Amino acid sequence: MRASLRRTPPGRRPFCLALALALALGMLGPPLSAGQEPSVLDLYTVPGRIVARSARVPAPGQAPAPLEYVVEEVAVPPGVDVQPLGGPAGATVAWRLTVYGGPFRVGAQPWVVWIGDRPFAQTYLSPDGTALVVLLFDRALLTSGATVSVSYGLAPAAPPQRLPDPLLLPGA
Amino acid sequence: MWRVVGVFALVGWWLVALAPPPGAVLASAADPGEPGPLAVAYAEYDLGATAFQPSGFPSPVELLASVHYPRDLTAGPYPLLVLLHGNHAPCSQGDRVLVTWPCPPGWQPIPSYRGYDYLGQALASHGYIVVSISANGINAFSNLPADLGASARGQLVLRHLELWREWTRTTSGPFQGRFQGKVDLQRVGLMGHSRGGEGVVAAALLNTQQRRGFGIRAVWPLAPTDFNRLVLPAVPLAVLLPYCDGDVVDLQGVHYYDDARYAQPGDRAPKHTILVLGANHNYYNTVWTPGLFPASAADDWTDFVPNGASDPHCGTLPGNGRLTPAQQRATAVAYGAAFFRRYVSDDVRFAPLLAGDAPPPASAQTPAIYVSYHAPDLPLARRDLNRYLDPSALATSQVGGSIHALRLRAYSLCGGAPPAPAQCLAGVPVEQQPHTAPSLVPRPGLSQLRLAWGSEGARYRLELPATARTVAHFQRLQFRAALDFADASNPRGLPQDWRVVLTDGAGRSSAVRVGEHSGALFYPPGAVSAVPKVVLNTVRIPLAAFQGVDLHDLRTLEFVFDQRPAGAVLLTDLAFASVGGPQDLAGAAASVPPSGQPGLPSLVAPGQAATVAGAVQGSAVALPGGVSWSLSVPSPPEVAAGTQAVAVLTTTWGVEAFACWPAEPPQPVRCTGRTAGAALQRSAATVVFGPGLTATGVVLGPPPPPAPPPLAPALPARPSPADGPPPPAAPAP
Repeated sequence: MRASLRRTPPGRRPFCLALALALALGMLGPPLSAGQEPSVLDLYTVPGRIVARSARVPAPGQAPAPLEYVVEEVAVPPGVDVQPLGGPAGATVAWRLTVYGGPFRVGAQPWVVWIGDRPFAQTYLSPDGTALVVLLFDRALLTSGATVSVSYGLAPAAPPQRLPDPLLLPGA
Repeated sequence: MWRVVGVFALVGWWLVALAPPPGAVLASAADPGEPGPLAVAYAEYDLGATAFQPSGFPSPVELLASVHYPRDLTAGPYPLLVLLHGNHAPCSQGDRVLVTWPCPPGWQPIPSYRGYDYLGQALASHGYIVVSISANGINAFSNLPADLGASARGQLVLRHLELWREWTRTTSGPFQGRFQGKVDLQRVGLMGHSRGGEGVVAAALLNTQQRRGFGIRAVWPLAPTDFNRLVLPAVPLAVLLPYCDGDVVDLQGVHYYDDARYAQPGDRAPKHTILVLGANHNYYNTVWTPGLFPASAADDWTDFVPNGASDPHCGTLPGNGRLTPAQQRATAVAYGAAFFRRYVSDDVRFAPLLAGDAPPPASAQTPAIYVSYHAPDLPLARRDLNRYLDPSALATSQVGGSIHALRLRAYSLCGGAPPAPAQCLAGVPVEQQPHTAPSLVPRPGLSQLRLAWGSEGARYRLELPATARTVAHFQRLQFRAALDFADASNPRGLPQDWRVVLTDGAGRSSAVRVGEHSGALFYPPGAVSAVPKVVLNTVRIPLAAFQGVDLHDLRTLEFVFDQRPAGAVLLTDLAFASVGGPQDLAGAAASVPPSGQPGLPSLVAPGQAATVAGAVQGSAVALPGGVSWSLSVPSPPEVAAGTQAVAVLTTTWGVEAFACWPAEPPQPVRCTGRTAGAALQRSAATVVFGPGLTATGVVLGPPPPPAPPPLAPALPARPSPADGPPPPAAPAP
């Protein structure tokens, strides 16, 4: 989580962003294939529409640098019940906050993503342990300007790791 | 020919009676961590990686488990113990890990369920079928449900129990009848490590809520998480807390004990915590221990806690207090075996150990273990003097007497509901205050009395009202306490101490120093990051130590702070208590002297009957492997409805005991149960309602048959336990 951050030349940013997104999706797992029964797990892996992202962007060919974030809007596939995740019945859209970093170890405690001083402990850990994903069903929980941080558990022995960039949403 | 068969049958019955009986209750001391007498076999079953879909969980999971069991199952049915590991990476490839399920090709499931083979081996040798179940499928996605997988884990445990119910009734399943009739599903114990601890608590709750019908008699969360603040009353509970836990660093599992104490009025289930100094989180599972598995193993304290290695107690500096992995496992074997044998098998020999009245056994390999004990909520087992739950507890005790705090520097409640401060130690991180550690479900922590002194004459006095002055029938005065290490008046590294003074109606007083009877007032070790910690442990002082006061007419109880010039402590759960209760037979068995004619059993062959005459009346019938009893005794006027007495008999096995049915005055109290041995001729059948309150009858059996001839050489040799019966009498061939 402490690898150095690297600035990307402005002209390469669109390309890098696309690459980063592709990398992210690749790390999070394959998208839903045709004919497969939709699962609530798909919400963590299907492509979404990027709403916001941290200013840092990984260099081409590299995994995202530690503690970057992406916010995406994700359509809930028909027939998928999000109530096991704490979502409302009949939800049609979710907001996906992905924090890259780690590798985040698997242990007794959940990795907690904090938006400001509000903790979110229902975090999906990517198979390789380098991304934490929080699904939100209320866009208002994404407080623009809030700091984003990550901790191991609610009462961590180590202080929460704060992301360099605050959460910045368009139109806020 | 038939005479020979008769001899074989009779001797065979005695051999069965001599085997270590599930459910036998003996009154002698023992080390629970010593290996048992039975040879152990091993098996596994694997019904597939996606064989079970827990309700409310996003994906299906495996049904895979290991089984340790007595190689010779003929003496069954045996109790069933289920072990559940915690959250850990599900898949590995060499030293790499992958978090998904099922594991893709080229990746192997990490066998976390095999990490308790040492426990399975030890427990099975004492006559248990021990099933350790895999939960990798849950681990891959357990952070997604709002309860972080607690319900799914509970459902998984119950699904395995359902499988065992099927396999003990039929010849279906992977074992094809091997365990048919050999599993006692009314004697079930659960152990869960880490998140598995929350899982087994959830399993016990679901078992009750959904009327699943499994006799879960003991639940042991080991280094557990408690995200959801589940409250489990009515089931004996022991929470093991490793002091140097670098994963569940706030020891939040102590909430199970704290939250369950007064949750259900009349709760008869004892509760325990077992604090193991020097122990970390992972070493209780061998697959999570460095050097024993290539992937994802760690010393959680040194690897996860910032600067953890430099801590003088939990770290790696010379003179540290850490236990080796083998030593840690020894603590789990000793206390886990004691707990399950105590509550699943009613073996009362381990009650003093679990109550803190006996030191850690040699097999635990460390003396640095401290316990809390919460006695059953029964009139003869516990009388609360102060629960410290709300501000009224500062002025009036639970029994209605007034309280006086004299020359105290601090005297207030903390840790519980507002207006009390949420944390007792201001400015100290929450991970150092487990009793008030936060959880996902907002809920107050343990309400405690913070008490400090610093001048002469400091006292804390409780007046006992007329209704509460008779305490002679209790064994101990007890309270939970811990040092406030943040208060500089406690000399660093030194234990605290004070005197407890009881005064009777004639003005006679007797004082006892706390430190003479308990080590619970130790200064908590450590100096880096998450230690030292506040963990309250129980101080238990025998009432017999208060010489010269009339325990039938106590007037005041005082803490006199004259052993140290100053100090600050946290207190709660002040009570008179006994180690007693519906499944706690130790006090009763120990209170009745052996009786009868040694060497002369009242019953010698299955089908024979004996009678009981006197204040206790009834009958007994010999069965293969034991004796069935049906006793009745008039309910004494002192006994309240619901009181559970204990029947005590002297048998060829020693002093044995079983619980009676709850009293329903004015109906007679009924006691039906089994003993492993045959009662001795003219021995006493005693029903114990409480200390000093008993009724007794005499066992009258048929005369024993003549002595047998030498045994035929073809008979197998049998073990000869030290307290076993004499050779059986048998008819001449």
